[in-house]
Parts: sequence; C-alpha cells; structure tokens
Amino acid sequence: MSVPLRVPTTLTTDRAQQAFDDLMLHYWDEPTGLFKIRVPVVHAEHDLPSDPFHYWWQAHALDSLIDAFRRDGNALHLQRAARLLGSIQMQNASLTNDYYDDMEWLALAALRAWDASQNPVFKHAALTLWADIQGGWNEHCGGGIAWRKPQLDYKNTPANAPAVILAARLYTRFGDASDLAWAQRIFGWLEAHLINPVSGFVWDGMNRLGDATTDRDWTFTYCQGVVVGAALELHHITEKPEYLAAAHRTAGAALTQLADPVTQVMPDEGGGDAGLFKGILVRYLAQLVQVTGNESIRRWLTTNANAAWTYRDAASGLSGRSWQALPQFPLELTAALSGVMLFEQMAALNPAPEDLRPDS
Amino acid sequence: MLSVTPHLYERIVASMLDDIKAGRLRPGDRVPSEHALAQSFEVSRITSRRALEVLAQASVVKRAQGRGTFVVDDLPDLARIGVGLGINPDLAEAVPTVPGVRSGLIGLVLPDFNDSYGLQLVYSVEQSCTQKGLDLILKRTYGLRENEERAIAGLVARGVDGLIVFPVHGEHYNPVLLKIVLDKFPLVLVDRYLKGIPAQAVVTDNHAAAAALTEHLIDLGHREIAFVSPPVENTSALEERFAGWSSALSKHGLLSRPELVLSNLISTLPTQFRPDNIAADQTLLEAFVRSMDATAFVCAEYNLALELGSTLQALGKRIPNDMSVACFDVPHVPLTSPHGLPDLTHIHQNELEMGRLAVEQILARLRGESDATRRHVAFELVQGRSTGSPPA
Repeated sequence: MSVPLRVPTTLTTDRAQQAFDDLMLHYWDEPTGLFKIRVPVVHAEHDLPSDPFHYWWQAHALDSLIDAFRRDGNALHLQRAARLLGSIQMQNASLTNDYYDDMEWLALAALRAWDASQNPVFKHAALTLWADIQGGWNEHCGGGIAWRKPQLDYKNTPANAPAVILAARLYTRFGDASDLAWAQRIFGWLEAHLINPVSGFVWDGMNRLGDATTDRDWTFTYCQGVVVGAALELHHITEKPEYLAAAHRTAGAALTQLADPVTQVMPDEGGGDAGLFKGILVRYLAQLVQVTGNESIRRWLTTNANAAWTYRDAASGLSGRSWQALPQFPLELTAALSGVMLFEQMAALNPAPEDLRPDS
Repeated sequence: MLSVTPHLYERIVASMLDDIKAGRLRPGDRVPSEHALAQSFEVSRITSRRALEVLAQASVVKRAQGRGTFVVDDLPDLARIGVGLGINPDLAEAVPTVPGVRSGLIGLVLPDFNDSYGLQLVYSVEQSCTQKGLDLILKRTYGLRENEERAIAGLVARGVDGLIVFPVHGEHYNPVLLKIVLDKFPLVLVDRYLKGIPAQAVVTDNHAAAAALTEHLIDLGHREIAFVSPPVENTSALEERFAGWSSALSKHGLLSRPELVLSNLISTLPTQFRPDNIAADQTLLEAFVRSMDATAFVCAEYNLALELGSTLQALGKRIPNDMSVACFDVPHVPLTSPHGLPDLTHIHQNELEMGRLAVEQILARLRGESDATRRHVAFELVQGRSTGSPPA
C-alpha cells in the first residue's frame, strides 16, 4: 500500500530527503517523464548519437525513486517510476537493447519497482529483459554473459554480477529453480575468471580486444559492489557460509584498494558512466552492513557520507564526481545520482532508533 | 419405515421412465400430451402437467412451446433420477449405475457468487448434479484461504465423491488442495488454476479474452488503453487478463507502460464491496484517470467498470464520446435492451458450460479416466454502448 507514512526523522533521513528533493528539482523533467542527463543541458563528447538519453542512467534514477518511496512511502515516487519506465521504453523504441549490462540494471530497478508497487508491468518488464539477457551467455572465455550483442566474446563483471543478483531475486520472488541455477552458474564463472582468488578484488573484464587478456589495471568501484551484492543474494537463498565469506573478502578488498589512504573517501573515477560507479558500490555495501552488521564497512560508508554532504554544491545541493571536492558544472546525472544513493543508503541503515520516535 | 403412498404424478413419471428404459420412447420422440396422459392414467390435467414438469426439470424431456413435449437427445442417468425422485422403491434397481459414485455427494467450494459472475456457474453445477442424480453441497469461503482449507477438509471427511473448487484470490498454493491432488481425489478447479498445483481446471481463456477486448479498442482507433484490476499476482484469471492486454498492445506496436495500469483496487474482492472500499477505490481511480492520457479502459471486473463509470461521470467525461470502457462479465438480463445494445461492452464467460464441464470431469474421474488438463470454455465479446472511437 502506498499510504504516506509518518516517518520519524533522523540526521540520515533528513539528508536523504533533501538530497533526493534537490535531485528531482534539478533533473526530473516532467514533460518527458525522464531525468535530464546534464545540468545545465549541453552536449558532451561521450554522448552517443545512438543513446541521447542514456538508458542505463535512467535505470539507476528509477532505483532512486524506489529508494525514496521505501524511505517515505509517498505514492508520487511510484507514479513517477511508472512514467519513467514507460518513457525509457518509448525513447529507446523498445525495452531491450544491445548492452546486456544496461538491461540488467533496468531489470533490477524494475523488479524493485514491482516489489514496491505490485504493478504487473514492472514484473513483466523484468522478466522480458531477463529472457533477453539469458541469450547473452555463450562459451567464449569458458562461459559468462557477453557485454553487448555486437561483441559476444567480450566478457566482463558488469554484464555478469548484476545478472546473478537479478536471477537470484527472480528466484526468491517467483520460485523458478532454473533462475537459481543461472545465478549459481554465473557466479561460479565470475569466481573462476574475474575475481582475484587471493584478495577477492574484482577485475573488470576479459578478452575486450580479442586477445584473452584480463583488464587487471581497470579497478572500478562498481565491480566490487555488484560482486558483493551477488554473493549476498546467493547467501540469502542457500545460507552457505562461503558466499558470505566471498562478500566480506571483496568488500574488504574494495576498502583496502579503493579508499583514499588519508581520508578514506572513495575515488573520483571520471565523468559520464563512471559517475555512477560509487553509487552502485555503496548500494551493495550498505546491504552487506544490513545483513552482517559489519562495523568497518559501516564506518567507511559514514565517512564517505559525511564528506559528500560537506562538499555538495551550496546553491543546488547537488553532489559531484568527487566526494571531497565541490562539483563542476555542467554536472551529469550520474554523479548527482551517486550522491543521492549514498544518502539514501545511510538513511536505510539508520532508521530512527526506538527512543527517538515521537509518541504517536 | 412407513410406506408412503406415491403421489399420483409419480406413477406417470415412473411409467414414462420405464417406457424410455425399455426403448418404447427414444430420444427425440414426442411424448403424450398432458391431455392424453390425464386420460390414460385417469388423473386431472394438473397431475399430468406436474409429471411432465418433473421430467422436464430432470432434463428427461424438453417442452417446445406450441409443438409439444419431446424426449431429450442426450438422456441423463435414469436410474439415479428415479432414486432422486423417490421412484424405484426396488432397491436392486436403486444401485447407482454411475461408476465410482459412492455417496452421491459433490462439493462446490467458491469464494462468493453474485449476479455479475458466479451465479450462473452455481446454477449450472447444481443442474448438472441433479441430472446425474448427485447431491450438491455448497460452501462459500468469502475469499479466505483458511475457510477454503476447512471447507475442503470437511467435505472430504463427509465422504463427497468429488470436489469443484473456485480458488480464493491471490492464492498460488494451498496445502490441503495439494494433498487431495496428490491423493488422486477427484478435484476440478473452475475459473482459475493454481500454478503450484497440478489439478484439472475448467477456465475461460482469459488471455485471449482480454486480448480480444483490447484489440476491439485498438480497432476503434484507441492507442492509450489502460488496464484496471484487483491485484493480479497469483490469481491466474487476472494474470492472464493482464498478459492478454499487454500482448495485444505489443502486437500492434504499442507499449504496455506501467502508468497505464491500476491494479491495487480491492473493493471487488469477496465481501469487500462496501461503501468505504468503493470510495477508496474511486479516489484511486480518479487520481489514475487524471495522471495519464488514456482514452480507453479494460476493466478486469464488471463492478470496477461501474466504479470507473461513475468516476468518469464525476470528472465530466462522457462514455463513449470521451472515454471508452470495456469489462468482463455483466449481470445476466434476459430482456433485450431498449437501445438494442447492452450498456457495457464486455466479455461474456460461458459459466453454464464451465459448470457443466466441471461436473462432467468429476464423473470422468470417478470412472477412472484421469486427465490433468486445463479445459478452455469459449467466451464471447459482446459489443455494448460503452466503447466507440476516441475523440478526434
């Protein structure tokens, strides 16, 4: 039910509320039912003519609408989520596209929207995307889902770890045993090919140039995040301790290798798509804290949230690519979303303690 | 035991049943008129008319207005009818001839029934049972799974020969049902099936029906077609209606967008059709209508179409000039409408056939034929005055 709840506020929910409101104020475009990709709107060199609206950025924006709904129960967020998915389909001319990872992001967001709303179109979208995504699995590189349809022999973490999360969540909701088998098979392939067996650190991909090389020097935050998320989902279903151990190892490796050694803040990984990477990492790290109560990861997230809150743009309230420097404009949706996701995750981790709740 | 003098009319009934059994009267034959019977049995015409009425009620004869009375083409089981009518005091003849029948009791378990849907189904199940000489026990569950479980367990304990179950809303699994399916108990589901339970089911092809309704609107020129329903998850009839709506849109190159769906209405669930719930649903409907640009609505249920109709009226929208509305199931009115068309364009489900087939399947199971299939009952799209071309 989407009855607005009277939620007691805390520091973290206040921050999330403000950050989300500022995001909507600057990026939500009511006439098109989409999020603007840049504020102010200008063209950038990484804008592909084929993708003027950035399908997968919109998918993460959909996730943010669901985060907000879960925090405050306001049905307006679900209405906008419904419009957004429709607009993505219309803008893209179909639900599916050439990038398997993009479809996975949208399917994950659609499934969360279904959880929140029980609107069958969201479920149908998630299942339609999943059916298409399964076609991306092939035997190049010993298995795994391809990154995109025109390049079926390039296998990477972004196209595989979110697929594990998706398949596992579909299994827990709808009980199709073949989805669980998919999740376990894909995770097994990831462990064998793209996760450092010693440290648990996750590499981005392999065979990008057709030379069977693994891109070990590509160290991105979000690859760690989605593997943590994948391991958590499988642990949730099977309760096998090795999955939880894998989630801990990768989260620890991310903290060791990606945090600023002095401030502990996560890196600025660049513009465009990379602006979203940190937001994805914190979403799944927060889930790990929810499940295990891991204190060092909780502290790491808190440090980042405090830094990011300090460095928001004073006029607009938006976060930039770096969480320890003021934003540069034009500011892309990706960076702004990562900031909002961080504050939303902190709010989800710190609901009001019992003694702070006002008497109702 | 007191010996009861049979009514005079029963002598006529018994004699005609004998004539049929002996082949003196065959299916399709005309039977003697009221007048002729009154003369030959030396009774009043009231008595002979009563005899023919009883035989017609039991579907042994059918009366054709102005042409006379005929033996039906498809005769019911005469031995059982005789027993049911208290005729055939000879016990040797009263042995049931329907194979597998022991108690002669059939259970019908359903959430609820009303004149828009369910009434004709009950009517038809009862009629089929009576024709086969079976007695029907009816239990309503009011849409609650615990009532359904209790009813099923109770009826099985009572020794019913078979069960016809119309499952509650939103149920994909019921341990009591699963147990009797695994025990090979004669069970037929009606209206909807359960994904988690491999039982026989007699249902409307709701996917095709909703697609037909949606295509009817597309053919009229509508592009923004909304879907309005109670929660669809785990109610196969509603899941299929949703999928039918969705696939008809994509077949015509239209997208099924989440903003076109309102599926959290609860007022039409069993026992919930009350003023407070209706008002709550109408608030949701009003916000829904205002939030997007639909010109047509597919309502999964008749009462939702009524709620939508009054919501649209309150918003100053005219049906069908501004908005078209189509739905499933309308109350059965045998009158021809003065306008020549019924008010609402709708899918008419053949409840009579559904009930008849369900009883038939139970009997087939009792004969030892097993067939865990899903049977589709044909539906009909009835054009009404609530759908038209969208405003230019």
